[in-house]
Amino acid sequence: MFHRFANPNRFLRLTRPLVPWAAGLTIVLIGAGLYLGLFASPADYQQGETVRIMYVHVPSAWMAMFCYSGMAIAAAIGMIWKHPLADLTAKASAPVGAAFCFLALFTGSLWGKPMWGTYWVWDARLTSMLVLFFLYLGYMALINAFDDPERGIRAASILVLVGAINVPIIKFSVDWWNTLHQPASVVKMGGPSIDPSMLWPLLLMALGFTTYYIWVILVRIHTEILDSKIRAIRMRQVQG
Amino acid sequence: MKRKHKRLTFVIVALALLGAAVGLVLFAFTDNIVFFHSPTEVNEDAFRTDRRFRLGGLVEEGSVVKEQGTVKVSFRITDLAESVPVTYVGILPDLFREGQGVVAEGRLENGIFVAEEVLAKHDENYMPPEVAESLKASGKWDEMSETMKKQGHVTKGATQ
Amino acid sequence: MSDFFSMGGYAAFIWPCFGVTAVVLVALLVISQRRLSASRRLLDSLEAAEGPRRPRRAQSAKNGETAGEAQA
Repeated sequence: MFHRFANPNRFLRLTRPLVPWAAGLTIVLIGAGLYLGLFASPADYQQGETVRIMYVHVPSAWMAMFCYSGMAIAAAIGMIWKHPLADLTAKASAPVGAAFCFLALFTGSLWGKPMWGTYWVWDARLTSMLVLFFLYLGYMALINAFDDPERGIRAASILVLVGAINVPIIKFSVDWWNTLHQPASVVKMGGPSIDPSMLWPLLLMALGFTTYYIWVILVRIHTEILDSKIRAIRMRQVQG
Repeated sequence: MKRKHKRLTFVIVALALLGAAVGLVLFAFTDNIVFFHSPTEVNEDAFRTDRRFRLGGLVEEGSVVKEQGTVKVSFRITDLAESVPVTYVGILPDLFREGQGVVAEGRLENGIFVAEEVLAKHDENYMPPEVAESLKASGKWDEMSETMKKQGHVTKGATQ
Repeated sequence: MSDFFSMGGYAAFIWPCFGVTAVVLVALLVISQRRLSASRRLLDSLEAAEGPRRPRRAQSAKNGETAGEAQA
């Protein structure tokens, strides 16, 4: 039983000092991103001031997809190599990814109303992003649906891996089909089509969201590790 | 060790099969996933005109006519090859203007597209107004839209 | 200043985006941090109660992880 905790313990020891660094970087990066995004960057030639919604919308959407990719990789490692830390990582990631996904949908909706003329349309990009949100919710429901946590993780891992096919669909939906959503502006062939004065706040916010993700995910993984130790102690007590 | 490999193979094979299945399904339903049709598609003889659908393209330059004192407007939607006349009664989104991408939902009646909803579609370029002005002044704007036309972005709502 | 807050007439769309993002991210962080503190307290008390079998009990009361490491 103890050897299973050997790696999580090393993980705890190695990653605890990272938490204050991630926290500090998050505050600095998001602070700088907000200053540039709200005060020091111009309005767009077409969209006026609403372009500022981009500085929270786009990083949220990126992180929602990034977080899901991480979960899928962790679930695969947990399934194939039975690495307990991988399962804990996937479990700890889900609420973070769901929060980012919700924010992408919410801010996108408030951006769509003034610019497109509607809060919501069922085009391929918006629909596949909604599917991603439901995948997150489904994972969180499934992992707690079984009395035996092992079976819950197994079932939820399968869901995450099956749903991973949705990530490239989200990314390329705007190229494969006619959508109301415009094609990619930053990650695309031929370089970004965003003026540097708007690209900088966007990248700073995206970096800040990434360090925030690292911060929260470490706190949550540490919690999962402590909880599994608690379960082990309770187990010993029951068995006497 | 052997069981580990078995699980690895199982996961890879299952994901490959699933990917292929999803790819086939998406390919088969391409028509239903398409959010809007282009004027060229709509003007083809084979296009069924009795149903409600979405028409997307650019608002043709100089085609917008607003009826005085009402919210009635008529314009043409073009993909720079073909165009379709459109009428609409209602409030237009802020981004609606000539040369701008637009998606209208409605029906064809006697060759005229009667829209019930008009949504604006913008491109993926973001820049301050001054930069847009200087691009237009230096002629780089046309260059940029030329490349975008070549990349087939026109039906996806690239500007002029 | 009021120019800044009115955001060219789009204040009703722009500020809720920033506000809700801030609320969601801060709430997630606070909830996660609280759960960690609660789990650490519980683990410490359980390990203290298991006492006799733990060689480094005095330290484990202060720091759950170090004690866990000793077990491993």
